[in-house]
Amino acid sequence: MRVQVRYFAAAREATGLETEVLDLDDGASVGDAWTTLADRHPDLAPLRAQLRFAVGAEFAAEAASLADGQTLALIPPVGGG
Amino acid sequence: MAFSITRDPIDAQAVYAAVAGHAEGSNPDGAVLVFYGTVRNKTADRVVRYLEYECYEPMALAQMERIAAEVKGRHAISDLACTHRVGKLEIGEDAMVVAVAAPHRAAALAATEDFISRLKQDVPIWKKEHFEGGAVWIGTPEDPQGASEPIREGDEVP
Repeated sequence: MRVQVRYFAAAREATGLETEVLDLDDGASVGDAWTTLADRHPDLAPLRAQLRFAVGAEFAAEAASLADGQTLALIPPVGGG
Repeated sequence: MAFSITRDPIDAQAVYAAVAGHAEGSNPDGAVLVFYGTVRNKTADRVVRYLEYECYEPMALAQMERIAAEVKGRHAISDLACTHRVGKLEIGEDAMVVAVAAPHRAAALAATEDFISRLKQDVPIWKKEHFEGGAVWIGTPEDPQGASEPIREGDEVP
């Protein structure tokens, strides 16, 4: 299945990308996607402790399953206001 | 409840009008509070040059909706609206305007603080502070003001 990944702020700067498409096995979780991304982008891996994940418009746990066509966003510490 | 993200200067009057302006004779509100979040020239001992805001817009709007619904459940308010600006902001410009209407002021004041506190935790908007001698994403470990609370494994992520 294919999932679109979105990067913002420090994660965008670490990967040099705003978005990319990830091919994953069916049934893969958010954590599985992270493992692939951290392997692919060495500068991204050290950010893990500060990142949250979102699937679509909602925050998602690492154990959450992904489905084909979904958008996974990496959410560094936010600072609105 | 009206929420928006803009790259242009915020039309604060429109944010106010989104919660006020009831038809003649039908206004239940004794208080309309409009809060402006503005770009200050200093953070601790850093002289700020400008700010750069970035946003994941569809999620930001969805999270604002969710948080506002929760805030409305906790405080006796009639309506809440928020517009946040993104892009490069100069010192003194408005980054965010929140308007809250309520029958009584105490609820409007409390709800405004509640909404902004929650926005700063969960709405995917990022702020890069460009100061004399460097730049930093606010809330990261590189932020001299301190990182946000670390996220623990298994947290019930709100």
